[in-house]
Amino acid sequence: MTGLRVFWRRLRGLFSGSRADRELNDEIRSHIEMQIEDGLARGLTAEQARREALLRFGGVERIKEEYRDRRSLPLVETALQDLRHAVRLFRRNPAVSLVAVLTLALGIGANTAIFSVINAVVLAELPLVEPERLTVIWGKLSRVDQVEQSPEDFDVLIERSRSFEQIAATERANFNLTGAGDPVRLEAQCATANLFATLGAAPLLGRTFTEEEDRQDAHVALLDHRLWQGRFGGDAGVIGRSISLDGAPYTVIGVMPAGFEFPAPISNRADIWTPRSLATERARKAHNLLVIGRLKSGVTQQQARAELEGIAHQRAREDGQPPGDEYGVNPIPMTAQIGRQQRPALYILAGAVGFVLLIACANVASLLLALAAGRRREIALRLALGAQRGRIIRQLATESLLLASVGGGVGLLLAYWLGGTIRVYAVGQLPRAESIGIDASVLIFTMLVSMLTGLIFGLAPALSAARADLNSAIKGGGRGATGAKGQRLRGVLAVIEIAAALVLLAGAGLLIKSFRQLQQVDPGFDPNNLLGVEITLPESKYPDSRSRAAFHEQALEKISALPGIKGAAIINHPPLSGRRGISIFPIEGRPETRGVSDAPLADFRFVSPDYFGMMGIPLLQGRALLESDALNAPPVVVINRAYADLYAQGEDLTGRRVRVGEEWHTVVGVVGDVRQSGPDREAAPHVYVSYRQANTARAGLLVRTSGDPLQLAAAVRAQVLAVDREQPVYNIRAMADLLAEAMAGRRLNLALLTGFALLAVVLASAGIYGVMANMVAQRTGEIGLRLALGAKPVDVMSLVIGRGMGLALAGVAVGAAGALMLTRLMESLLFGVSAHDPATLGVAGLILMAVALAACWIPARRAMRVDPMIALRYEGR
Amino acid sequence: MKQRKSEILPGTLNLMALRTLEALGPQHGFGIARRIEQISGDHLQMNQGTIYPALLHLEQMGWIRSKWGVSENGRRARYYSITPKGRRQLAAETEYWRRTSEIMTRFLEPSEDVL
Repeated sequence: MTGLRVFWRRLRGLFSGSRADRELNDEIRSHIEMQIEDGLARGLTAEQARREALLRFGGVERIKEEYRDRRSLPLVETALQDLRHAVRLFRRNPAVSLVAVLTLALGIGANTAIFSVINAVVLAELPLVEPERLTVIWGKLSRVDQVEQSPEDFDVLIERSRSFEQIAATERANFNLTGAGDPVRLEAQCATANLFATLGAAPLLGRTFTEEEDRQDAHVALLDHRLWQGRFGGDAGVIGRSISLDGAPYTVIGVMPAGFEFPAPISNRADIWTPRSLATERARKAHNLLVIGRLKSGVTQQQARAELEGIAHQRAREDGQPPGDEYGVNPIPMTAQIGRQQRPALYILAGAVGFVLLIACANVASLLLALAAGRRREIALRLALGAQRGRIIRQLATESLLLASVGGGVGLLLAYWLGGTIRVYAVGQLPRAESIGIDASVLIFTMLVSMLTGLIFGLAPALSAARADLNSAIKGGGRGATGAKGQRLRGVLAVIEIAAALVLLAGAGLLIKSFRQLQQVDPGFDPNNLLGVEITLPESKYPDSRSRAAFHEQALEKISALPGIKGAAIINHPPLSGRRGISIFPIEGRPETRGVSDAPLADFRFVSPDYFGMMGIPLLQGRALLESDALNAPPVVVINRAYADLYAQGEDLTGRRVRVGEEWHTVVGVVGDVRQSGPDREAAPHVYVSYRQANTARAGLLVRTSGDPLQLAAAVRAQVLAVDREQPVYNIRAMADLLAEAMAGRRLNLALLTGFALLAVVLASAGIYGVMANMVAQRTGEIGLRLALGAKPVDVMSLVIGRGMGLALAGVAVGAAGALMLTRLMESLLFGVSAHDPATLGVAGLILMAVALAACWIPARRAMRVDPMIALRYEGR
Repeated sequence: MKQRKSEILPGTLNLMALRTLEALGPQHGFGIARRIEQISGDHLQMNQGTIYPALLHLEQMGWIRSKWGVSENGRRARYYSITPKGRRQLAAETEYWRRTSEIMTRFLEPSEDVL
């Protein structure tokens, strides 16, 4: 307690500063004068009295120092003193300080920005109870790593697994919401009743569904917070209200809290939840369930995985699947699932900004070394006057930390701006992108990085000061051991910078090349002037294939008649819609395969006859679908080239029959491939059936226009409404935009990496410039001497440039080696180009050499213009 | 044998200053230093200036307080006075010294009991 009071007093003593000093002076003076008076009174002379007084008092300075030491906190005092010196130093060298702060700000800012992205997407806690105990249980095929499970799979899990406290399943769906404002399309998840218990999320209002409601597929619904706010005005009376989903009445029983984001693997939002009864589900083998389990306490993720794999193995044996070709299981912990696809890119960006920071540190270290060279006399003098080396080093450390802190502060502002920009483009590409921003973790990160940076670049000048040779330094002269060593150190730093810049440049070049390759990929159809809309026909109004086909036919007829429309077609899952229907379509006459990889897996599409022609998909063999392929006509099917390549085994499949569901359809033609998931994924085998012979409630309407497709959206919608007044159309997109969006993620990565690479090049060139300028300044005398002895200015220039290019060459060589090692890490991001592509590396190297040449130019010219007379005169300085 | 002047024990200066203030009432630094010199006769070798860090410590601990005033000769001087807390501290330390010296005395006396 008393210690605390003393500390407090001393803290206050920090601030009383000069006033306390003055008062002590007064007090001491008073004291000595009183002693003198006393001496005079005893009969001493003035001189004697004074001498006695001083003697009896003791060392005044020492007392003052001891007093001062006790008065405040000495450590803090000296630190403040150091700080004041540092500030003064930087004010005397504004140019250097500004450049240093800016360089640091760029490096630290870039790192902070990328960290804030990783923080939001990967590191942030899921707003669920104990998310580390959640697992997403995927199925696995030899070709595909993550496959949704079927109700049958779910049953097996419930029955046989012992590792989980709860297992829930959910399926993605869509509903037309009517009766609450304009008709609107909702994203839905149909879930088992225990989904919310499994996730550990409680509703904000009302309740979640019961087991009973689950079993009966009751018409109850849970609203997402955003839907509740937007459509229902945040009214608490919404509980119990009846809404119409796809024409059927549902009762709202609850609302989920804000911030509850359904943690689906791809940033799937859900507007609404309804129960999904698996017990009454007829399609027991349809793979459309997302299965999530909560581990029992005490069970680890590894143990669960081992058990699940065992169960899958056993099941495969029971089903007679050959080993090595089984339908397996792939449980992924929820915490690893979020953003799984995008993590590699994020980590690569993190590495890239790390390099940028390295270059920035090297630059600032170089700058400080130059500064230190100029202060050698000052430091040597202080050492000679008795200052401890430790004190000097502490001073230099303070300077570095000051620079780093200011740089970090400015960097934080940069990061705020950059993070905000990234956020705008990342929404939709990265899960949880909306929460990219500066929070506590990011601030702590910035502080740590700033401190670390300060230590790193402060090391060089601190070490050089520690080794200062007193004699030569005081005697003066711009050269000496420190000068040459400093030069060499700066040269090494420049080489490192160039190497790092080369690695980044090579990486960016590879991404640029990948992107260009992607843009040249043929998507399989003509995406220009193509409008896409989606419609879902509610089951209540269109209960069967015939009624749906009738609607489609009428709609197509009306739309095709519009001016400006060149053609229209229907397909259940349009390309790039993110939806696919996959099933097995065995070929007649082939043995039924047990193994999973041999089974003829293909994407299933129903289309209107005009589809291929309108989309520009080439017919390769046989015929396309016709209007005559109607309900009562012989069932036919068209396959694509991928199917033929994969499963035909060399035979011509036209005329052969393929089983679609329960029926056998005859193959009548082969069409070209369409890359349904985007330009970077291979085209899957497809099986096309006429919409008259089979169709689904949800479909995409594709319309070829003669001008800008979005202009005709209203007209198209009007025609659909003309067929059925209550039928909303939604997801109105131009296909060309969708295609561009499929590449949006890559574009963002590309932009960022290229930006960082350019930054690195600029910083590295500044580094080279600094080294060269310093060299010329240091060796002015020598240059003057050479010129005086008959060297031509051109010789001097080539001397400087030669040295500079030598450094650059060394940097490029080291960088090339580094690039060869490191670009391998990027492979998952590349397309159509090898990680060791020599052309890219070569171009990067040339760019850097050219930049280095430009950086050497000015110092070289300055060297040329040295006046030998002036240079020699100052030689002896 | 010339009596060696003993150096002042650290910490005891604080005690002596406190005692002086209790006995003399408010006093300035010079006065306290002189009083300590007088009381200890010639046995203590003391630099008068060391009183000031000691007084600072006492003030930081809250045992004395200070105020600027005017001395007997009309000179500006800082006067120190003891606080109630200081009196309590003085009493406690005095007791401690008394007990310590008692024990030491008993210990150092030639003992009748043969050990």
